[in-house]
Amino acid sequence: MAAGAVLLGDPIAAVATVPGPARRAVIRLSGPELLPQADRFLPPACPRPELRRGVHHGRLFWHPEAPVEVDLLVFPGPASATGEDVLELHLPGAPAVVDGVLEQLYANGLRPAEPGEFTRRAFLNGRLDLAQAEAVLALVQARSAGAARQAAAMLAGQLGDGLRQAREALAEALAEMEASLDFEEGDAQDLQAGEVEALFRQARESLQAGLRSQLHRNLDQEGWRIGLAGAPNAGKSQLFQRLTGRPVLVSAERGTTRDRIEGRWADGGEPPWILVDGPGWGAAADPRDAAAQALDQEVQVDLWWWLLDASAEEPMQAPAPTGAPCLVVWTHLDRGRRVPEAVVAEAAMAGPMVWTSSLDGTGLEDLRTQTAALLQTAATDMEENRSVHHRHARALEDALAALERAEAWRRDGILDLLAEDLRQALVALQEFSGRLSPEEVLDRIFSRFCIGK
Amino acid sequence: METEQSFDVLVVGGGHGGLEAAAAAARMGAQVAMVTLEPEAIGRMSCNPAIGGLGKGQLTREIDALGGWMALLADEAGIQFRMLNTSKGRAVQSPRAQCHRLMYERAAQARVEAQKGLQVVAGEAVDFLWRKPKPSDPESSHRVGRRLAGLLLADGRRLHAEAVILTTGTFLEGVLHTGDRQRPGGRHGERGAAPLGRALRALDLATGRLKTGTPPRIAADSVDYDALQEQPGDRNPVPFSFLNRELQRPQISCWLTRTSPETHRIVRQNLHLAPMYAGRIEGVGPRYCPSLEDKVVRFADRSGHTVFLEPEGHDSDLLYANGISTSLPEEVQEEFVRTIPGMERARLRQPGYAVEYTFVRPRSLRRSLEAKAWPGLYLAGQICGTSGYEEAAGQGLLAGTNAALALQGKEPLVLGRHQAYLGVLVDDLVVSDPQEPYRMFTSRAEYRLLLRHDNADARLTPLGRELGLVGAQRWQRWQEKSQALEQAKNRLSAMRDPSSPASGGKQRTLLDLLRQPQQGWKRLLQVLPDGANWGLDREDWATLEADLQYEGYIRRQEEQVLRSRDREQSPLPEDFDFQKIAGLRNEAREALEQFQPESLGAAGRLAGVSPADLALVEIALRRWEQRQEPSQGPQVLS
Repeated sequence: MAAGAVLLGDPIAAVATVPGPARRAVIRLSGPELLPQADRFLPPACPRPELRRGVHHGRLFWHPEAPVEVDLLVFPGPASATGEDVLELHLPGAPAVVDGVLEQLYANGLRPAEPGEFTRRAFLNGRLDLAQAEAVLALVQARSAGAARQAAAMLAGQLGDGLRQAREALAEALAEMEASLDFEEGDAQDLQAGEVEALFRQARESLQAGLRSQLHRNLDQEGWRIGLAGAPNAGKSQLFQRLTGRPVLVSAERGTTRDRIEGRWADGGEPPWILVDGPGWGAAADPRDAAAQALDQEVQVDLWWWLLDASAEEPMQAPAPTGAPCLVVWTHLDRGRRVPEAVVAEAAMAGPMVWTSSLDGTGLEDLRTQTAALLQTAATDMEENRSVHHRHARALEDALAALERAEAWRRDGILDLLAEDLRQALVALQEFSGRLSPEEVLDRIFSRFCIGK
Repeated sequence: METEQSFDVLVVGGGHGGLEAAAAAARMGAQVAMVTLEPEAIGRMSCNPAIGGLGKGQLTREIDALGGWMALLADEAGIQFRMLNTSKGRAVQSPRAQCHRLMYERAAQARVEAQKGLQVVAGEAVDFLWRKPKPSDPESSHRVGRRLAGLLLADGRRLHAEAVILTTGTFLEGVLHTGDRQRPGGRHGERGAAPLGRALRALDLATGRLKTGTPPRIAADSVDYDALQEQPGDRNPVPFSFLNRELQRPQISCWLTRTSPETHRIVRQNLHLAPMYAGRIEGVGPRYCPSLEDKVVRFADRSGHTVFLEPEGHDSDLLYANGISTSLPEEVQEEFVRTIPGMERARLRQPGYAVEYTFVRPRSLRRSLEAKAWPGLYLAGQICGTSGYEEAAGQGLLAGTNAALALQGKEPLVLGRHQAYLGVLVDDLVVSDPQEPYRMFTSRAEYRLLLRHDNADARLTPLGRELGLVGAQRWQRWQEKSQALEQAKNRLSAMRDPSSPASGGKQRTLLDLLRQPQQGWKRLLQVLPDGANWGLDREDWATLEADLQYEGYIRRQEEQVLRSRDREQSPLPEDFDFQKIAGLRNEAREALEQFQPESLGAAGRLAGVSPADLALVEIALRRWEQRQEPSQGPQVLS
């Protein structure tokens, strides 16, 4: 490896701990030559680092009128965790504070770190050996798997729609531009100026809508959402009633539960556990799975309880719900256990299992313990997604800025720079919506325009 | 006739790829033989009589900047010069020259004649010669137990050389189609190279079939010019070569017309006679150069398609009917041509035809264009799946250079994607599998703003000088130009812009004035009449202007280049075992094994390899390097 080649990383920042309310959070910054440039990156009134190892105590403004106490730890490279200059801001763990500071750092030119990026730099600079790096990366990947599931759920929603529409409009606009740049007039014959304008407008609106939808989820207020999935009469309503104390009409007739109902399991945990019972989630007649239906109804759940009747011989009438972790809840144990072992084994593939009876309370403590364990994992994933969230917001802002430059070039009639900024807008979005290859641009051109001599 | 002859480099083919390959190797001091079936066809333009165009013009200027011939030939034989895309931005402007077909090939042949160290051998190469590998030969030669050593000709002559460059165009197992008539051949009136195709197949390189087509040639006196739209050349034509400051020959016009609904009706009615639609062609044709049959079928709602009638010379009696490439039977071609306005009495001098040929999948090659499995064997041009004179010539230049470098025991010349379209071309070829003949488009270059036609010399000529490709005259011209540009910049930065306020606020210099998008060098010269004496011509002023106006974007792209540098410069060892990398997705593993990319950067550009996959490959590569290091260190003597 050529000496110095790895020092070309740009400065990055990310939260380095799992913050919760009332805890301390650490924001880590890393970059070659970070210390001499600290003035550029750090928020106003923040303590300034010296060029040697040490701790500085002071205040910074995470919001124009709200100072907080912080410690700034200085680790000059190469004797630092990443081998580059590293700064750590230790500050109160309140999400609003952490996010406020991160946003300032990003606005000042730091880039949100990608998953595993600190580790990669540490490895490339010789601060971690290969085994250590692989162990950390494996952890990052395992954690990213959960986070990716959450991110996928986010992308299935409004944000994802915005990104997809924006990408489509930008890609079409770029194809229009490239067609006019790569083919002679008279050679590419179907270009229309008005269409590009409409595509620009569409891309701008989609990006702005995506940014608006990027509101933080406030777990403390909203609580964990636990979806109850299962065949009609698997015992969803009885369990719901038993745990929330809210009466629900229960009958042997199929599809009794008409509307989505929510209630808090008071003895559950903190943040509050909200049980959500939707109509017909998991009913066999519907070809779509419960998660898709839940999304249709704009319900996001953090955990599925998949209720299966232990007293039935064929309790599984639909596939396991997807889109969130799943706990298999066997019900009606008081009616006797008749489910064949092969079916139990099959159900076990969906997730951990508990055996319960809503009538006599059997297994409910077990249900609480298992649920708490799964939600703890989800909490970690969600933390992972705070950084995904920041990267989303950053990507959308970068894309919008590039689009604005492109519009200016269009007014000036400088088309190669226009195309360059359209491309930059697409590059900003590519982590979430996929890379736009030159081949795809050409495919779009050839499918739309009759081109060529 | 001698039956045994020795050279340094053998070049098979005298087309645009072969010319530059032979010329480059000879310029670098190698003894070169150009083996060709027909010496009088050297430098022939077998398709349209034009050099350059969008993307291709940049390639031509890069070839020129490295001391190649193509731009010089275009200047000698050019009959109409146009700068394309002048209103769309400096980075996408491209020069194009319509050429006199016969003069072009004559000029090429004269240069071959005059080139020191280059000899033409008329004959047909039918097989390779081999020798036992020496200890100094690369590992792959030892694995197969033989090393390429030359060529056997059909008449029994044996030509010995350490390097063989194949630039056989469409001649490898070529089949010409016109209507339901098929005949083996390389192009109109010339036979193909079937034995060499068999010899190549025995090397077990992955191959495929492609097709391309040409339009009919029309008798120039049989069209009604009053009914055509005239397309004149530029008023101030810009020479193609950096060596030339002026053009001597007068410019002539091209002519435009359009196909009519009646044309399309005739094509549709006879589709069953078109080889493509009758299923007689298996090769894949280019989407950017569709046949008229394709245009009529795929864009059925269009009532007309532009036809460009391009003279094949100021004194030629032929017109090249660009835009109506076809392989319909000759009589159908004549029938539909006569439904085109202005061509009602047109006479066909030569019918259009489609040609189907074999190409070697370029993933078999290194970026030096040397076959991975067969040291000493280089391929360039259509045989690598590309289309176009410029693409072929560029590869030829690189292959010739690299063959000569290998003989000198030096590292090959591999240009980066940020350095040249030539770099984009080769990199694209080795990391993707051409689905159609590959043509250069400016949109393929992510660093397009860096790769202007007018700065090709600044980008490449010093490199060419270092390699021995660039001669004294060109080097002197280059130094003069770059000094003049540098001086002009310095002077302008010291001169106050008279239109900026004399006091208060920041003073603007004339350099700042030139930076304004709406200004430009012509405006500058209005306030700076003395500038005309600074030793810069129109093109030089325009270059200065572009450098300044694109400054911010150029800097940003240069930063991107730097960021990706460590990956681009990380070589992946040959036969790297991707099977052993845990966690790679199957799709990525397959692509990596199939293409065996030469660097981490190239691995990241393979379709199917995600950033996460690339991170895993990088970690595996570092582990491999750590294991290698002890054995590479000096041996300790006990």
